[in-house]
Amino acid sequence: MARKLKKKVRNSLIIIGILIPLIIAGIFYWGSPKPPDLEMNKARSAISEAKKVIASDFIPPAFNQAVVLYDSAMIFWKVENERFILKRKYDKIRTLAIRAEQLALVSPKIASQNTEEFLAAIDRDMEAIRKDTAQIEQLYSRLPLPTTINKKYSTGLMLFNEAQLNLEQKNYKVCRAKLEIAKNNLSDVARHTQNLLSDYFANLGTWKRWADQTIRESAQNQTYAIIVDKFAGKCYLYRNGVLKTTYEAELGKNWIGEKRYSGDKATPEGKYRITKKKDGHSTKYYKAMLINYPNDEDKRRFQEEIRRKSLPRYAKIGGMIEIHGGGGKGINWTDGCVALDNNQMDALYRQVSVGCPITIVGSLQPLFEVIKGPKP
Amino acid sequence: MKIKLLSGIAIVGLALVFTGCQKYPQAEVDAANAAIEATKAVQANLYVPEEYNALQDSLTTVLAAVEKEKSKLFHNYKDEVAKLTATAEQAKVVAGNAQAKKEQYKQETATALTEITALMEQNKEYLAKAPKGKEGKAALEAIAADLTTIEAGVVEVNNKLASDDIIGALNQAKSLKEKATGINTELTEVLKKTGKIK
Repeated sequence: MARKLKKKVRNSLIIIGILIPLIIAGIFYWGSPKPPDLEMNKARSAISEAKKVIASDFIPPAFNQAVVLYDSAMIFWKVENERFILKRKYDKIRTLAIRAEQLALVSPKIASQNTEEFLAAIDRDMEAIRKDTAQIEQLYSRLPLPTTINKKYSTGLMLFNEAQLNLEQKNYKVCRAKLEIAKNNLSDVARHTQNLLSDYFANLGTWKRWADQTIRESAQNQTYAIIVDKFAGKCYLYRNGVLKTTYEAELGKNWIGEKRYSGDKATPEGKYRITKKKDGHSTKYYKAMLINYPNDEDKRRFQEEIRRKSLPRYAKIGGMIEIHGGGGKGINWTDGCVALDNNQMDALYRQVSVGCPITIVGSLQPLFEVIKGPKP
Repeated sequence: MKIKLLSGIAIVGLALVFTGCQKYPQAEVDAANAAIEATKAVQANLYVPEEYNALQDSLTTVLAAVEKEKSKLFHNYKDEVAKLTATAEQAKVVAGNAQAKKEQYKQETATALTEITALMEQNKEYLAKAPKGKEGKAALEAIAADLTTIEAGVVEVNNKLASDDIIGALNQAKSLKEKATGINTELTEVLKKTGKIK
């Protein structure tokens, strides 16, 4: 009996010995908190998707915050995992992950809005630069500009090209930086050319009056008359007050503005007459027609400049201004003369005699028409 | 006898419960992190940004999977170790691709610089042939200034190459080449007009 009882007790103890660990294992298994992997996965997925659509230059603070929250959640998760399994708490991690997911989900919208605004601003700037450049380009090749302005123009154009390349590559910040410098350079050039032209065109009224008088004189006297429009680079031949032929004219390198002294490479403006016709060995430019520069007005202006000391005392007024051949180079290259190509010079030379009026003007059209119109 | 067998199983089972879990794959995690850092060192984020981002996503995913496994009563890191190893391997591929892309950009920059040098030589030759004295030397001063600007730009490109700004160098070189080509066209036209070249 006692042996049976002893056996029962022993068996019971063994069963208890087996059950207790199993129960403990069960408590560990079912009692441990559920890991926050679902929330973490959602947050990670939202961050990953946002990263795919957000350009690196437009990452909004919300996205950075989402990443920080996710990283913090990971750190807390690691810390909790180091604790005793039944003591782990994942609530804070879940909260962080959910917040990270929410921020990541709104980030693309914020970034897209920022990107659109930025791109619209870039677009506006680029359009303004293109407009400025087209206007400068239209006039640039014809205007004698100082080296510093030429350099600004070249650098501005090159930076504009770089800005466009960076825009294509979605390097928005670099694009912005390049565009800013390009804009400044090109607007300086545009301002310089605008000022230069505004000063130049201040004499438009006088030029028109001279041109009208010359045409009228041609009509009244039934003679030929020549009008040279420096800005348009044209030489107009009138007969009996009617325009007969238009020639392409090339001028002095520093053609813009009045001729002030000998060697300034400017083509004079004023009302003149042909004083001599030259051909053969008497000219090195195929054929030439000398004009009576300096006229009385030129001499008066020159003396006034000497008196005001805006010209050095030893300055000379210059002379030997002609209409001559050798032109057709496509550039303004003379020392102040008007050059035509040899065929056109032939035609003009044949029709015009000594005494023929020749009026040289800065322009016959106002500045706004010159700028909006086709290449002068 | 039966009881003894049951006791044995229970003891082995409990031993497995408390001691049988796999070790945290710290070495593999460190290796994968180091591999990603190595891709950053070769500027993979600049040269192959999409591949780099995908790689980072893989690492973040697998690290979360490792923590999930660690949260369980029984850890089994077999899959995660395989993924960490694959990520480290992929990082090497991405680093290689970044280096190849960088090399390609360097090569393109060098080619552009060679072309610019050739264009500049020809431009200078043409400039020397262009109308001189009364026939327009002064009119070509602007072009000469442009050539100086391009030469200064070439120095900047080389500085960028030296400071490892390869993308910046390539973009500037492309822009300089365009400018040099434009001048070449302009000079060619002038010289053709004057009959100095055919």
